[in-house]
Amino acid sequence: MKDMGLMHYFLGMEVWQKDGEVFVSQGKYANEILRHFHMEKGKPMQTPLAGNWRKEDATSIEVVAAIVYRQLVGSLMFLMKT
Amino acid sequence: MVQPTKLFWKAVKHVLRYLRGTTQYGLWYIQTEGVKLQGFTDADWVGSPSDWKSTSQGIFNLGSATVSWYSRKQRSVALSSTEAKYMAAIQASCEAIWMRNILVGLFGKMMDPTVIYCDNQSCIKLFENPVFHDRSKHIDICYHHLRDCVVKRIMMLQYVSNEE
Repeated sequence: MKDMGLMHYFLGMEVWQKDGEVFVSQGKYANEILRHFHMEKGKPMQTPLAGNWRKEDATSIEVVAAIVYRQLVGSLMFLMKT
Repeated sequence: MVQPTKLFWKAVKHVLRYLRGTTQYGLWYIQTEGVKLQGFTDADWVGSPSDWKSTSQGIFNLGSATVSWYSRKQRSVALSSTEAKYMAAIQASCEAIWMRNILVGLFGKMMDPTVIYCDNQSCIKLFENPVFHDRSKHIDICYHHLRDCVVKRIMMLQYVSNEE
């Protein structure tokens, strides 16, 4: 076994360490999700969802790319849980 | 999830755009003297227009930075904003008890009551004096669990204005 020094990256989490200070962030994993779904140039939003969003408001029953949708929701759920 | 429609697709894209604005965010822990656990709790009232349920939120700080947070839809419909915040405070108390158990295990000593801040005066009054008047008598007995925590000096609820 080898001492690899201070931890920098662990399971999608970046760790920056200084004297008496630790900063943890998920920036790298979040950017990977954005790149994977081609949203890295999207306009940033202040809120995750509009306040008046209702699932009953769906007008069309047309199904969109279900597999990509599930991949995306899965990645976001992983981001949230870690 | 099974049959995503355009509306869901738009919602997910909105989330991604939010993510794009927050990728630089993270948690910053600085070494401090002593360890103090404090909590903040709040709830919206009827935040979910589809089933009229409210959402509880809570944040716990230990020393310099946040260690635990949640935002969960409540299981039952609240009749007033006080009731919604009351239920949120109960969730916060469960979280506080769990975190206190860990800290007591780590440091092996008794802790002062954990202060949980709440921005609703009538909610705090209800904890201090659980009188059964007609606006609160329907609240189930299990929700008076928090009252029990206050008596046992596990935690206390304090007011904080929502500007702070």
